[in-house]
Amino acid sequence: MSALAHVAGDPAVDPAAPAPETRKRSWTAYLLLLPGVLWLGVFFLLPLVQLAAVSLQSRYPGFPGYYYSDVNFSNYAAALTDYAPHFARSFVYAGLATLFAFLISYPLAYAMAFKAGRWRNLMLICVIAPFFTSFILRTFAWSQILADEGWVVGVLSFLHLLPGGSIINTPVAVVAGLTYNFLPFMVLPIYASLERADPRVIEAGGDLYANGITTFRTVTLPMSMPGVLAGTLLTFIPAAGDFVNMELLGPQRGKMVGNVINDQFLAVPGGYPVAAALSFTLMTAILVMVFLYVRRFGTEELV
Amino acid sequence: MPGVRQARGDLRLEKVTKTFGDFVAVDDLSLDVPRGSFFALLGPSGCGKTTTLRMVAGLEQPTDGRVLIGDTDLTGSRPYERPVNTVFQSYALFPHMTVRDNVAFGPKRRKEKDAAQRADDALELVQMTQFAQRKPVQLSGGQQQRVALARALVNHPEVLLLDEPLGALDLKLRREMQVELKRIQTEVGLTFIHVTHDQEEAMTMADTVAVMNKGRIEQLGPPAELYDLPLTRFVATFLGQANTGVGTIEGVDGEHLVADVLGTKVRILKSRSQVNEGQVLFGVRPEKVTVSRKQPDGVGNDVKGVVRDVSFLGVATSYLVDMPSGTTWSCYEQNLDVEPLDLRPGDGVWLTWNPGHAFGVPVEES
Repeated sequence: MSALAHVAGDPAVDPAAPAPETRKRSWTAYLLLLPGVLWLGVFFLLPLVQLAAVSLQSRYPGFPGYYYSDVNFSNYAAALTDYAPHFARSFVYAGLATLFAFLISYPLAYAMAFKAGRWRNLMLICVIAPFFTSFILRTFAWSQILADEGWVVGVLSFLHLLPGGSIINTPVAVVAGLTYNFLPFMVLPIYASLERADPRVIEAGGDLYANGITTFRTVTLPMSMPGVLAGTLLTFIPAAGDFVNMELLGPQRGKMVGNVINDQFLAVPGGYPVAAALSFTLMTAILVMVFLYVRRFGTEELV
Repeated sequence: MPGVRQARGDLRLEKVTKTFGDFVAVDDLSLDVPRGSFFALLGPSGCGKTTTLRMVAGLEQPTDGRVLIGDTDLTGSRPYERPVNTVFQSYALFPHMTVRDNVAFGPKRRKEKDAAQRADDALELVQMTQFAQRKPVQLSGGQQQRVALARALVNHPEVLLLDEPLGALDLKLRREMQVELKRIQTEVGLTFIHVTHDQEEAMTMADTVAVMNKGRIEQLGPPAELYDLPLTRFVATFLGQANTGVGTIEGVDGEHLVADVLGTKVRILKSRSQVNEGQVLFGVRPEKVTVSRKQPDGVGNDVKGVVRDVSFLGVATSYLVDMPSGTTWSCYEQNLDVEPLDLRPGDGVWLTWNPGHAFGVPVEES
């Protein structure tokens, strides 16, 4: 997050680093980096290379579950042609969840930062509290809440607001689950950026002839953009790859790409290369989207 | 969006009170600031000066009383409806905008067609033209201060409020900005209300100074007048230094009251004493006191003391003298004699002053 909010150093402003100290210090820096670099190398880079290798393997014809090393891009072709709808669903659901999480989080974070007073810490605890129980358990709880016998469906049916008569096992339930599960990741960065904002700066908007709405649009919201950016990334990225919410809350058909990867790895004999190719495609797609998004809404100029 | 209220004329506060829970920040304060004057609200922290300023800006609403500009009652109106702009203590520049966009913010909100041009003009006035494309984080404190000033001035407010605007600057820069602010105020001719706890800053810049304490104005007037004849103990000691002693008024001698300060008879002009009988706090400014080794001619206004400390200041030498009453007085000797007094700690000295400079104020703080 801090990297996203990093302020571009102005060489004219930055004092030059003291030259004689540099060499001695750089060794310390490398030593301190070593554990992290090792960790990344062993547990991230190595598996990634392995996964890339698997994604290019070919199957032995007639022996499901057996592969040989190859440079076979047909796995990628299969991933893109057979599962394009799954990718699309993943991005649409994750996008919707991100949007809803933002719409819920911003007022909440705003209230916590500016209006909560002595209730602020309690509200923070309430936002974080769900982390004390497991992700799976919470998602199960949602399958109870949204069940056909549950009160949510009962109330909505009673008000004739639910034409299908059911929420569970629909995309609506999946988006609701994703929104819920990643909400704290949206709330906390936005709260942090709002809380850091000088209230005098917001007052200055009013002092300079901007009414409440204009001040929010031209001062408060732009000042909290680093938090919004971080929050949307922290929500969208895991939501796009998530399969638990679809598994527990979603329909039988029309799964997300995460479920396909899960199935290909664990359920389909000989599915490893395709699963690996899907993983790589998903990762690349997310990277490209994030890159474009950060380029568009980049905050390097923000404090 | 309701437009900015048109209002011209003097700023008037009528019996304004502001309470926060049980705490009375501003207590029944009335004030009249003539249009185009440079007015300073001076007082220690917590005296209510910033709250007063914020009520003029509309950032706080008074619990009681009215805020007017000319004949327009602004009480209850929102900050964006008031022809008033503020230079905030921490500058409060918009961090996500360039300097030019910061300054153009006000004109843009008022839908001025030539907002950019106005911003450039204002930046020129504060000599920040070459920094127009920078972001506030890339500026020094003094530069941010100028931008904050330009951002307020560009709107040609009827009243410009300055909340300790020089507090974060170092001494040299502060002196420069004091002169600069005064120049700009003369140039644009707006009403400036300057809140500060620095008495020297208030005296240097303002036409009129109001000394505030505990939510009230203790005394109001031109700086020289306040300094020369304080009306309360608080003003006497907060505005500049004062050598004081508690005494009892014993009688009248022509134009003068005669008071006994722990065995020493002192005289105060009747017109310069706020009390005529009983206890009085006698005071005289340090630079009005002359130091000498021998008892000077004339009686009634000299006291013998013992030098405690001598500091050479260049233009003058400063002495701290222990008085028989137990207090310590401060006085100066201009360094113009070929043969200085050359006093040392422990030496006995005579302090003398013209009784016309002495003043008397009530002992108890009001």
